[in-house]
Amino acid sequence: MVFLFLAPIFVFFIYSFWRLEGFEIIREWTLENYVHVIENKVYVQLIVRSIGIGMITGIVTVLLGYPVAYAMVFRMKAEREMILLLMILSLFSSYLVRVYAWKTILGNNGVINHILMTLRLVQEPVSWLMYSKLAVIITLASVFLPITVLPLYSSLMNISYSLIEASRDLGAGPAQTFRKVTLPLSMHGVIAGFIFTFVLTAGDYVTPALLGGSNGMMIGNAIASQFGVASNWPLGSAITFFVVATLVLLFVLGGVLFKKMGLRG
Amino acid sequence: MDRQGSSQITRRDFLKMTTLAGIGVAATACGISPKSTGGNIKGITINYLGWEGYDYEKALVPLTEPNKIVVSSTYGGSNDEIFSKLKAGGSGQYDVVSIYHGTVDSMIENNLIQPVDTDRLTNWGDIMDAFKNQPWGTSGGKRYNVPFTHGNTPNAYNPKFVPNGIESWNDLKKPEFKDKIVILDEALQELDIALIASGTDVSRLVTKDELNKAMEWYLPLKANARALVPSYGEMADVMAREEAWLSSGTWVAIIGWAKEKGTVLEWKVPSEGTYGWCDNYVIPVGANLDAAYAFINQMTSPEGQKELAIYLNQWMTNKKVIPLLPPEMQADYKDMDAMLAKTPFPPSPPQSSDDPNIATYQDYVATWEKIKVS
Repeated sequence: MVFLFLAPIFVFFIYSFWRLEGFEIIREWTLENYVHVIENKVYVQLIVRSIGIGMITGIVTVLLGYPVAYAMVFRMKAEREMILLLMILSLFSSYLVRVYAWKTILGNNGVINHILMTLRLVQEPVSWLMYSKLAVIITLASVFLPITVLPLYSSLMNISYSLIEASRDLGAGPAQTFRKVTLPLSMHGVIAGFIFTFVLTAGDYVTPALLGGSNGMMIGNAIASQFGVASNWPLGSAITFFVVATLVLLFVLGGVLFKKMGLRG
Repeated sequence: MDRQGSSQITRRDFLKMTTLAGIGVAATACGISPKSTGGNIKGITINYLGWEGYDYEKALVPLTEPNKIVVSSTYGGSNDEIFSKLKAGGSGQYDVVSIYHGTVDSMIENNLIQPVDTDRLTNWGDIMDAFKNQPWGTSGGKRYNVPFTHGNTPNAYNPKFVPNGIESWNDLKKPEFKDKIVILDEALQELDIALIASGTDVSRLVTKDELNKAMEWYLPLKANARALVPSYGEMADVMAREEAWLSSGTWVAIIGWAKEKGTVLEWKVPSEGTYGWCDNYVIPVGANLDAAYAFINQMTSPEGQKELAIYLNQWMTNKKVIPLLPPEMQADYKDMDAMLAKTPFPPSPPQSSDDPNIATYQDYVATWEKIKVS
């Protein structure tokens, strides 16, 4: 299992130290692909943009997913399993179908613009809903919301209700109990949910290609372009490992920050 | 009476002979002459590599059905992919390959294809001179390609919003078209348009300076774009949903696709012109020559070209196809010679170059990425 996971990664890691000449991959060790990535502002810009979109989407899904998970655990115990089943079922629907569904909702002739126009809130369709970073974030958040809810639900389920009752018995109100007891104890789920969404979103290239418009390109599109039309696998591999290194660095820094804040992920 | 030894012809024999003669005449008319096959092609498998559609079953029926031939197809999603498949041990595996004009010379340089014998091409005399006289496809006095279809890269527009289309590629930068343009995520197409619009001759390899100038030209157009789409299908969809009124460069096939979705689009070549493309059949090294010539002769025959033209909604290279086409398609050929005379056919940029000033394929990709990120 570990071999199946690591073998392709290792192959591409080796590729990243080779180079393309003509249509041939020259198997001579070189760092020129990494130098190209570092020197080329385009890739740095794309990585920053992808991390930004990934973080916003991660935060949005956690903010939307937390109340859902909280309600499932503490308020809707009878419906809990049904909601959980529906969440999992949604993961069976095609990713592309969901992306195209958002096109029919966000477009100039889409549902939202139709409502806005019918209510005479706008005179002409709101064009920035579609083919924008907003469209990418909305779509990715909807796609990855169930994946965020699952670890949140799991962490909230693990909280002993006696701790919450003890907090209330000691005079804390619902808000204070949530802030001092529930949220800190469910932080593992918050971090796990955020990381799942962040990693999957930052590397996505289908949604930006279909809904990102002229300014929605992400680093995944640049990598796909090198492996596809450019046929430059060594450079594509180098960009990939540069992104991986950047994300690892971010997680290490995040871990240090959380440690200083007294949280352990 | 021993009928076997009789010189009399029975009714059954007569029917058999006339049937065989009829098939022979029909086959000759369809381009399957003994000269075209030059060998036994009965029951063989023709191995085709290339773009989907250029092995259109209906166009091949007059060859495949009477000869019980099977066409085994391998498709490539891009010219580079087709090239790579042939390069990666394709020798002997394929009998005929379809490829973009700009890639033919690379195939010759890499010894992937062999010269064609025009004496075995039954329709060679009917191929438009404009395509026989192009600089690509020949080496050492030998011809390596059989051009069979072509087109150009015009601008598409929705006449509901832009009644007369645009006069110049520069019009796409006008403020009134802000967020009304859809562009294709395809480095070569978009940069070739930008090169033409910025005054560069694209019928030769371009320099890095010219490519940078093209990028500067393109940036305001990109700023006006509403969507950057990964395929022509998406482009048709965006324009059919009226999310965009104009395209940058396009493939005329999107006009038909948008029509199927209820939106009328039209196309026009702006005053600076555009570039042309031509797809060719080539014969790989190690091919079954009888199979290759039989396939090519059928697909370049007037009847085969007619089927292809209607199926693909594309222009063909055989002059004799024109009277066989529906009237609306015939109209496209009215000024074809004049149009072809002023249409450049860009060579594909090289993967690497000894001349440091020449823009390579990687330069195109890098420039396009800079534009996309801007």
